[in-house]
Amino acid sequence: MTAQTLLEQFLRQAERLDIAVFPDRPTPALKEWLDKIRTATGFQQAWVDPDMENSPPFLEEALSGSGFQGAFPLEPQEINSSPNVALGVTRADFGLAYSGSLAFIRANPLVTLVPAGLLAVLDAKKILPAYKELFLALTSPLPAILSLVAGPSQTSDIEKKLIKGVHGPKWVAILLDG
Amino acid sequence: MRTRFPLLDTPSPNLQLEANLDNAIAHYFQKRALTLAEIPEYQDLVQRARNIRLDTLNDLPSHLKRFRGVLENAGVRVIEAKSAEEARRAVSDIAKRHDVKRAVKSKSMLSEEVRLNEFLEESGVEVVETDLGELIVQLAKEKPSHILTPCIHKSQREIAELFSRVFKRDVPDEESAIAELARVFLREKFFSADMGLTGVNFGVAETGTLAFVENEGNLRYCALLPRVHVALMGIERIAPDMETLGTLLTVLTLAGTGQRAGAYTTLLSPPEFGRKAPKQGRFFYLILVDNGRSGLLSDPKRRETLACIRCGACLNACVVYRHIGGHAYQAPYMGPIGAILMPGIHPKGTEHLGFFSTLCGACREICPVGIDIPGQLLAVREQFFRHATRSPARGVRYLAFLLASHIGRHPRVASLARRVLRLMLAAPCLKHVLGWGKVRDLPVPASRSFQERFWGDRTDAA
Repeated sequence: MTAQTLLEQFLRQAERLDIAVFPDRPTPALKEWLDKIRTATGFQQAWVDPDMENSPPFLEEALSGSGFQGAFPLEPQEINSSPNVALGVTRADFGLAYSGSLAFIRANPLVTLVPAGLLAVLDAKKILPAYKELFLALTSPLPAILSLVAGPSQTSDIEKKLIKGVHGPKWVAILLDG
Repeated sequence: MRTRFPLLDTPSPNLQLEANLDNAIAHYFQKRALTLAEIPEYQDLVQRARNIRLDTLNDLPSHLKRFRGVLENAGVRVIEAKSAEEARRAVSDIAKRHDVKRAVKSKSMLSEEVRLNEFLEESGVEVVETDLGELIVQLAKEKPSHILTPCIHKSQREIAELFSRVFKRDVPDEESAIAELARVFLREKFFSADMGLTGVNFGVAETGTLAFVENEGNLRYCALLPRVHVALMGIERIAPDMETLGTLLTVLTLAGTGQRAGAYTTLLSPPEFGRKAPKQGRFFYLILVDNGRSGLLSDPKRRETLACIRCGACLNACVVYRHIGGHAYQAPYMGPIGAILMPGIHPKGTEHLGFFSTLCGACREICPVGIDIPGQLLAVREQFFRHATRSPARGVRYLAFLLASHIGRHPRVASLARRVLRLMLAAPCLKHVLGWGKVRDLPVPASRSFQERFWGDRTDAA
């Protein structure tokens, strides 16, 4: 499968999972998405993963433009004191074309879980076909925690009606890098 | 609301249950069909998954030894529990050692099997179910009625009423309002819990990796936030290596929910995980539970039952389950898989479950690891009759059927018996004494028999 085919399949699956995908530049769509989360939650705080390498230069400005205050409270004791966070920003290590999943190795897994929204930066060249290729791409020793996210936190426990944002993010988006 | 007969003023609880199940299961099949339509290789995947599971079971002791060795070398504490009692005791001891007051728990059928919650509560640990469906059944003081959708038997209206009662506020009959209330309630519990309890979907023998799949995110909270994490894993839930894990994860979600992947998949792997957790002041324990599985494994004819990956698809496909619901099985595992697994691991009092089936084969068709469930059900029935010939209950059943056949042959006696039964069933307390009514209905006999109605109608017409 070519890189272009993988990207197309990944984007198709991501759309089905209700994951918004934005290019790595400031766009009205990104601003609208950030504004929506800021307004819906009423919270200002965004967790920006400190391990995020080469984050797109416009990101900080985009966050502050939508009224977010970036912070790095990723230690458990700090998380305990601020469970109401609007947005988590981190880098995904891989994307999976088969399912539209994002794979996180270096990111603190709680940043993908606690905030109401998740914005993940993903290198377009890091899209793999499926689980098999992902597991082959992992170097030894295996990462302590590999967390995969395939769309918003959800349940269908009540009459099989889809409810998003049960415990984790209600909104998930990707900034496609490269 | 559906009614079957115009003569009934109100639908019986069973009709409501059937309506709830029909609604939920129809949605499942719709979603599954849409996803599988795009995966033409699905049957090949099923065959591959079946081979993986059967090969693993054929060599389970060596896979387990390897799995355990990798974990222990990395400093992970692995505890073997031969029975439910040992599993409960192990968790309780850990709770005492770490002075645990509150535990948050994700969905785990194994914890239901070993009756963990009741035991911990008796030991003074507050256990909070965090999967939305599990929370609902916990608040209702009920048991799960489906492997994946624990509150499938409840309508939204019933859940809103339950939440209004428990949280002492007016909760609207809206799914989003119910979920938001649960989110706020549980978030506080996650952040204040001392211990997280989870099951394990698969353990990888080669790497010691533990794989967890879910949709809500509550499991990830339970595993990563509290200072102590205890995971319970059935000894059969082994994948030999990471490649086979990929196949099993794929078929699990396709069959269970019609998804290509669960919203959250978390893999914890030694040696890094074993080293990192204690440095962060966190403790992890894995409890490997046997509880009757070795016995089933040693029977070549019945071993296949252990290939189950708990997707719950066979419940959705089963015409019997869809009519009677999960509670009627009165067992932690329900539906076709419950009917073959329970008599395998705990034969006493569960062998009759082999008859909760029409043997239509729909369960075999839908199983993502191709378990021959009808064949296993026949083996359970054989087991039942082998044991029943020695049972005093057999004589009682024989006498009951003999009496019923005599009554049936005498219309006047039958009419009198029908009236007596109608009177008895009119008293709710007697319904419970008779053992009916809690989990299924004993239909009230008609006021007139078929013959009375038939001959009466003919006389009227004449």
